[in-house]
Amino acid sequence: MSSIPGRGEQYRYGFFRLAPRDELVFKSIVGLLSGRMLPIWVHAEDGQFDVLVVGSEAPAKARDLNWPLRANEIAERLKQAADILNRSTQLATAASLDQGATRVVKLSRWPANALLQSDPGYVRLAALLSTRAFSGYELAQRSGLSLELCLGFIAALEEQGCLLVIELAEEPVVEPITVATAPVKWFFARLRAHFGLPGTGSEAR
Amino acid sequence: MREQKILFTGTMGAGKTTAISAISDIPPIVTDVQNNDLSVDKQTTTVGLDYGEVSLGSGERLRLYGTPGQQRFAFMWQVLAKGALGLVILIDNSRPAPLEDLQIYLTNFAELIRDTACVIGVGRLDTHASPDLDAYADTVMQLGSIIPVVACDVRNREEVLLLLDLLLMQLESKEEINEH
Repeated sequence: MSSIPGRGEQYRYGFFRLAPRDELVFKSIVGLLSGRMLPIWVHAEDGQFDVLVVGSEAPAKARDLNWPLRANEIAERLKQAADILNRSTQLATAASLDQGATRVVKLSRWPANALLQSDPGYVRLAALLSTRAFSGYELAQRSGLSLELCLGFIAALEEQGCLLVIELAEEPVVEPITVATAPVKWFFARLRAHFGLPGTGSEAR
Repeated sequence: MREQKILFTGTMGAGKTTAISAISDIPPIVTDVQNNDLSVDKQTTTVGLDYGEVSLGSGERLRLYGTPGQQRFAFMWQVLAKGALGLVILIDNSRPAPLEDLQIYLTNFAELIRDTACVIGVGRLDTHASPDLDAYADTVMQLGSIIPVVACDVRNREEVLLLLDLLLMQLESKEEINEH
């Protein structure tokens, strides 16, 4: 995140292989929508951006916004990106205060039902940890649940002997801020939206 | 990514048709016939498949397939499993040997479970407390897997949606791994 101190939260976008006309269109749309979008997005001239807008002919990474986009898509994706940037910063700060948040762990077995019943979020965390290893910080970011809750769950899992410690990370890993382009992720995101299921943040990776 | 499908499997009477009805946009298409298995208190049972769907707009659709419950229709399971996004296993805890029932589905759908995602919903725990959910987790573990196991009353839409949520959590995580 590259918010500008003293000016509230501002986020920055850059262009890559976008026609000048399309750059102008994008800037105009963002300018028009800026009253509806908080925080504010500005064009980064110096190459230090939070999100990159990529032309349709250019190779795009998962984090990029692929042009062309409709105005509503621009608003939605920039809003998602800003939310994640903001959350990443908050969580990274919290994680840096707690070394436990950097330890990478996964389930060695499905936890006892008594533990899962003790908090409604635990079963979702367990489902995540059943597929791959997460640090406490990543788990919080991924689930949308508080870091405190995630660390509490990890501690309880360890007590029950349900945990496999994969490695010790030197520092908290801040997930890159991305806007997904993979169709399957958007399918999952739309499915969640359709049923009103809580988001996981994966649609923004 | 225009269409995807999720499979609902499980024992006869576990509620596959009801679960699909709970989240389908359309009334499910069912291929029920009169049940001749007197050991199960059910007037009709599915011999082909159940079908429901969820329209997401822009032509995107989630197809929901329910397998026939009886093992004699197992040849249908593999046909339906092909290309599925994930698997929901529904178990009726009031049956004589529900853990053995689970093993049948874990074994028959092993490839799908390994390659995609799976969640187990156990019904009728309120009236039949044993085996408990931990026993199901142990059974899964013995087969070398870790699969979410939760209690589920398929008549309750929220509980069916929890199954879907847990399935999506796994799929999204796996998708993330594939990207890296």
